[in-house]
Amino acid sequence: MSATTNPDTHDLATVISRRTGGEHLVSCLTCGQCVSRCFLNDGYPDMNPRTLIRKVLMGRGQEMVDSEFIWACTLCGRCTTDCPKELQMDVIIRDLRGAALRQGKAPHRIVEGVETGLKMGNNVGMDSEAFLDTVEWLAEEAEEDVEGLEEGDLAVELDREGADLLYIPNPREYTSTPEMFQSYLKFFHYAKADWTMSSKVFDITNWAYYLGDRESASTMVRTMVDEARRLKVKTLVSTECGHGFKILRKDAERWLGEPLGFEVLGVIELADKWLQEGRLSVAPGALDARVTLHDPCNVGRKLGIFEEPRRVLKTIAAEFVEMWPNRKQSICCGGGGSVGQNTDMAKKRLEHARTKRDQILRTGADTLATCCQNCLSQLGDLQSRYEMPLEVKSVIQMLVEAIEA
Amino acid sequence: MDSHAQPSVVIVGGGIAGLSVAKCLSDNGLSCTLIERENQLGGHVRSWACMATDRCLRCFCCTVEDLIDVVESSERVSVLTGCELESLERPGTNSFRVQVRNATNGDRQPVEAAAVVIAAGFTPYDPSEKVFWGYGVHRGVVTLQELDTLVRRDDLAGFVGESDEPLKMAFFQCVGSRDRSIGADYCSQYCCKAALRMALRLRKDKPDWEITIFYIDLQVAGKFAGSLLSLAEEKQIRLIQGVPGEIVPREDGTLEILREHKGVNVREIYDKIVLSVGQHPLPDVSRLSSLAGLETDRFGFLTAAGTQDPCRTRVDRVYVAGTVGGPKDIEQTVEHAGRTAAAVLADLNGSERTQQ
Repeated sequence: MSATTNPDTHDLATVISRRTGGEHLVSCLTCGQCVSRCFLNDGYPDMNPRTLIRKVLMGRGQEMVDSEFIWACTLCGRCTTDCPKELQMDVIIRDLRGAALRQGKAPHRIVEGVETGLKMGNNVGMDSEAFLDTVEWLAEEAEEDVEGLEEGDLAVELDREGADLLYIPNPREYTSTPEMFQSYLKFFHYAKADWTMSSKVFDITNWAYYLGDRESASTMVRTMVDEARRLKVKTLVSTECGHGFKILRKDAERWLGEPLGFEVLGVIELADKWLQEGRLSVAPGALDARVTLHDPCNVGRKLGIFEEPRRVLKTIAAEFVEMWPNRKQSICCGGGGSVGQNTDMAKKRLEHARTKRDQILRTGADTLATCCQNCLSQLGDLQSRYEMPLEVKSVIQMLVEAIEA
Repeated sequence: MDSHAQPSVVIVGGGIAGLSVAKCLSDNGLSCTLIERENQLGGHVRSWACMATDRCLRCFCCTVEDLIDVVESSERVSVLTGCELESLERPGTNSFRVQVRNATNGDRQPVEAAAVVIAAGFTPYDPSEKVFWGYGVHRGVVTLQELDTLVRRDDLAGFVGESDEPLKMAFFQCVGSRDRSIGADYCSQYCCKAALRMALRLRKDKPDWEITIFYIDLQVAGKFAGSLLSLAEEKQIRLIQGVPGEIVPREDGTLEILREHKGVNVREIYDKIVLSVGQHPLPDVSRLSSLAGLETDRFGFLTAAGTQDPCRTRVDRVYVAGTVGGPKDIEQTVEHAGRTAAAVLADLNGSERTQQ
């Protein structure tokens, strides 16, 4: 019989050691490799991942629970990439945040987002009717704007049972960046996809995951999984989202303790597949752009999806340039893991991302592409804060532009 | 004694382990065939430099030349360089038929043996998969073995340049060792001592260089190894706990690292960084183990019979010697090979007595 872990009666090190990804906590060698890899090491000169682990192991975890550092961390996982003892910093940080949440010390904006999410099924508090109206209106607007699109081309029948694909968006798409949402509508149309959306579940994000609130995080996953099952789809397609996609793909079965019974794909994977199959018609190099790619931590480092966005960009853009370092060693945009949504970090997240900024500028690219809404938001803010001479776009957005070029 | 009745031993691998076994067996009247894949004997150690400063630092590199001399001049040892073990058959309980293939011309040659010793050695870890350190990408990042070879060839200037400006050089320890993420969760046992010796050796000629060793914890076990540590301190080698996890190249070709110093993150610049790479199993160890009917451990090294019997194997009359069975420094390798030779002698003499 396995011992259950009560987070309030066990010390933090014990709690973390019982997690998948935290089991090697006590075997930390203090090798220090993580120290160099954290992009916060200038912003917090007296903190680093190793110090955090030492404090937790020495019974001083509460200092970390009370710290700003755990909320400045983006859960990017770069520090523990190649960790000789396979510690996973994102798992450790989320447990520290969970303790802070129980002590009432979690950032209010995120806590409220989770409450709204649990109540409404999405973190922006939109009801089904408003969502339906928004989808309809955005589809009609796009049909009018694009030459060659007929009325009704972009109309999508919601809640259609038996469709191949269930697409779940990120609320950012249909609130602050509607042109992004229209790109996905057009993407599925041009690919002649057999797809649907849900009128009830239209938020791929999971802010409870950010808070280390495992129970609520599982509830949110359960809602999405149940909806995909109800609609009897073959595949749940995640928008260009980092953490939401990563959770469904990598954590959901373990959290729920059962097979999902359907496939989870990222829209970026579909784009690559369909482009290679010739299902989307694009003239090679259709976009006159020198483009570079930011690897989102969740899509890249945590899910290993590195080549898909590159193949798409290399096909559609005149020129593709790599940042260094990239792929598994990519530097975080600085806005992940709740930092982008946490109003307390609004100013600091742009200061902390100077290394990222310099890395981007060194490429000389005129377009910065990525495949995560969170990264897009942060990189857009970075662009305007530092007046970087480039445009920030999603890979799918660029693909649709290439199709229409 | 009738030479026909003389049992012969095949030794696979002509590095210090195989050479030590060959010397010990031939000294005791046995004939051996030493098979070496490379075109010359000596293995890794042949390309490493003597680390003596004003005194011998007991690196044992010099043993290899003596062993080669003894073995090559011995009438009882037949040396087959440029050759590989191709197959191993066992026509009788106490006899092997070993097929040896010449890698250059493809010629095959059968050798009869009463025992087989596998002393095929190790492969140095290739750190290029550790992208954060930029080995193979950033000029100025080399492995300790490469540096050793440069010193041996007296070609250090080819790497560090001719300038008289004092250089900043750092050693990174445990590269490819104690690393679960690459299936090498073991200490390679020689790198700490090797890096300390190299730092002291460099200090002899370059008194004004700043030499730093970044380590996790220094493994300097052994009767004489501890003195390396006190020597290093005396000679102002900087010993710093914690290995930087990333090397960032700068425009002028120097290398930047970040580490923690008294609780604060600090950046430091180095001219050259040396990765003290660990010992990994041979890439084709599974071929060897299946040819000989042996097993490998979870790291990929050949498994010996047991902790108290570290030279015999699960197969009667097949033995391991040296690093093919696990990481060792030169001294430990020679010691292990001596035990292997003793086991071979004991077993073959024992069976002779039984036959009489």
